[in-house]
Amino acid sequence: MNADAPSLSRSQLKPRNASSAAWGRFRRQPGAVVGLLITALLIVICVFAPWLAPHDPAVQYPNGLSELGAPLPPTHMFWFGTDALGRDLYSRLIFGTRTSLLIAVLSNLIATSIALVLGTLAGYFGGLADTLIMRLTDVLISFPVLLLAAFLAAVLRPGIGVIIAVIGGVGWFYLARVIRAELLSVRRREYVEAARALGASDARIIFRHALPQILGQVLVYSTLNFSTTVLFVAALSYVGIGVQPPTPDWGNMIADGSQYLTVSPWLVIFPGIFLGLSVLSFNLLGDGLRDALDVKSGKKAI
Amino acid sequence: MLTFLMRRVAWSVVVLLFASLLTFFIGYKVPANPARMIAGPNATAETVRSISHQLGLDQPFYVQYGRFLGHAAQGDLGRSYKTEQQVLPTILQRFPYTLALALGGLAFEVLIGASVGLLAAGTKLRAVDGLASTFVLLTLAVPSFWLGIILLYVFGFKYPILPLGGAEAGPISLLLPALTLGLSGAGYYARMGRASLLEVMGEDYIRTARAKGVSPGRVMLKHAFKNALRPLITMTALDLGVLLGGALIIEQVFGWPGIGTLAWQAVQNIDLPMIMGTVLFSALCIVVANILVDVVYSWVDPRITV
Repeated sequence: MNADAPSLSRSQLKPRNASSAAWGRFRRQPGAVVGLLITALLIVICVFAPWLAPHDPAVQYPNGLSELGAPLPPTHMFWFGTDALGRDLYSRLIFGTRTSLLIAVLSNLIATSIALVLGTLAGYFGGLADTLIMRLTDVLISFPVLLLAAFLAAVLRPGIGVIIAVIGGVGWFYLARVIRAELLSVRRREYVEAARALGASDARIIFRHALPQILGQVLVYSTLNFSTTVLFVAALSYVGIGVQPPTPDWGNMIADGSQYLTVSPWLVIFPGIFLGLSVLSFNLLGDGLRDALDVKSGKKAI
Repeated sequence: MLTFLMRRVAWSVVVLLFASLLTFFIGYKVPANPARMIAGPNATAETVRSISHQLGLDQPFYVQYGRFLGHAAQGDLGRSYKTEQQVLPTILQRFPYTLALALGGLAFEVLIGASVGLLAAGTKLRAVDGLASTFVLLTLAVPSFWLGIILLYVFGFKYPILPLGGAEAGPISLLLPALTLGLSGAGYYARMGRASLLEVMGEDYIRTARAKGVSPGRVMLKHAFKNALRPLITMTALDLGVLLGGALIIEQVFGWPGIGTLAWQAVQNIDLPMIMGTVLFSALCIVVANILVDVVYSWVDPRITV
C-alpha cells in the first residue's frame, strides 16, 4: 500500500447500508451475541424436539421410579432424573420448551399486531381515534392484568388457544403507546409531507414511508415484551390456569415439582433454569437490538 | 392544582367504571351457570332456576349491571357465591396481610435496587458496574415464583430457620415472601437508579458544587443521590399501587392469606361477586397510586406544577 494514501479501512471506503452497520454494532456486544446463540439453540430445541428427546415425554416408565416409588435423581438413563410419575424430566423439558415458546411466540405476535393496528390508527390519524385508543390503554394499564387473564382463562375452558388469545389480548398496550408516539413524530417529517404533496394515499404513506421508519422500535420492544410474555405464560401455568397437564410446559412442571420439593428438588430446579435462561437470552437479545438499532429510550417494555 | 386533581379523580372514576363494566361483562358471558354451581350437581332444574331468579341472574345484562353499580355506590359489593360472606368486609379483612407484604416487598426492592444502582454509577469502577448489570439481568430473568420456591426450600426446609409459608408464625413469616418480591423487582430499580445518577452527575449544579470545593463524598451524598432518587419515587408509588391489589403469584407460593389469594380462589370458583370485588379493589389501588405520584412529584420537585 502506498504510504501517502490515507489509511482507510475497507468498511470506511465501502458505502454501508444501515442494516449491516447495525449488525456490526450488534456483533460487538458479547451479551447480545450470547443472547442470539441461546435463542438459536432454543429454536433448534423447539423444531427438533422429537429427535432431541431420548424418551417419550408422556410415558410413565416402570424403571423411572425408585423401589419406594419416589422420583429418580439424574441418572445415566434419565439425564435430569424423573418426575413423580416416572416420566423422563429431560424429555419433558424439551417438549415443554416447545409448548412454552410456541405460546409465547403466538401471543406476542397477536399483541404486536394489535399494537401495530391501534398504535398506527392513534398515531397517524390522531383525532377521535387517538383519544379513544389512548383512553382505552389508560383503562387497561390500571387493570390487574394477571387477574384479568386468570379470570378469562378460567371462565373459558383452559387450553392453549385460550391462553394465547388472552395473553395476546392483554399484552399490547405498552407497545401501542410506543408506536403511537413514534408515528406522531414521523407523520410530521418532510418525507411524509412530500409523499402527501405528491398525492400518495394514507395507506401508501403508512406502509411505504411511516411504518418502515419505526420497524426498529417495534422489533426491540416486541423482543423485550417477548421475555415478559414467556414469564407471564409460565406464571399462569404455575398457578394452574395455563397449559394443562399432561402437556408439559415450564410453568406447570415447576408447579408439579414443587409438591415434591423436599424429596426431589431437581424437579423444580431444572425447569426454572430453562425458563430463567430463556428469559435472560431474550432480554440480552432485546437489549442488543436496542443498542444496535439505536433505539433511544432505555425503558423496558412491560 | 385543585382543578387538576378533580380532573384526575373524575377520570379515575371513568377508568373504574370501565373496569367494572368489562369484568361484569366477562362474568355475564361465563359459560358456566353460577346458579348451578351454587345449587350443586344434584339440584333439580327448578332449584337452579329459583336460585338464578333470586340472584337476579335471569335479568338482562343492563339490569344486572345497573343493580351492581347501585349497590356498589353504597359500598355494598354483594356476597360471595361460595362462602356467602360479604365481599367488601372480606377484602378489607385480608388487606392488612397484603399491605404488610406490599410494604415489605417494596422496602427490599428499593433498598436492594437503589443501592446496587447507585453503587454501580457512583463508584465508577468497571468491576462494580459489571457486577451490578449482571445482578440486573439475573433478577429480570429469574421467575419470581421459582425464586420463592427455591428460597422456601433453602430457608424453610434445608436450613429450617424460617417458616414454610403461611402467616401463622407472625412477622417472621413475612420475610421470605417480601424478599422474593423485593429481589424480583430490584432489577428495575437498580437500572433506573444507575441511569438516573449518571444523568445527575452530568448536571451543572454538580460541577458547581465541585468547583466550590465540596468534597466528592459530600457532592455524592448531598447533591447527587438526593436528585437521582427522585425518579425512583414515581416507580415506588406505582409499584405500591400494583402490590396493594394483591400479589397473585407470590401469595400462592407462600400460602400468604392476602388479597391475591382471595382473588385467586374467587377465580377458581368462578365466584363472580368476589372477582368483581377484587378486580375493582386492585384497579382502585393502581388508580389512587397514579394520582398520588403526580401529587408527590409536584411536592418533591417544585418546578413541576400539576
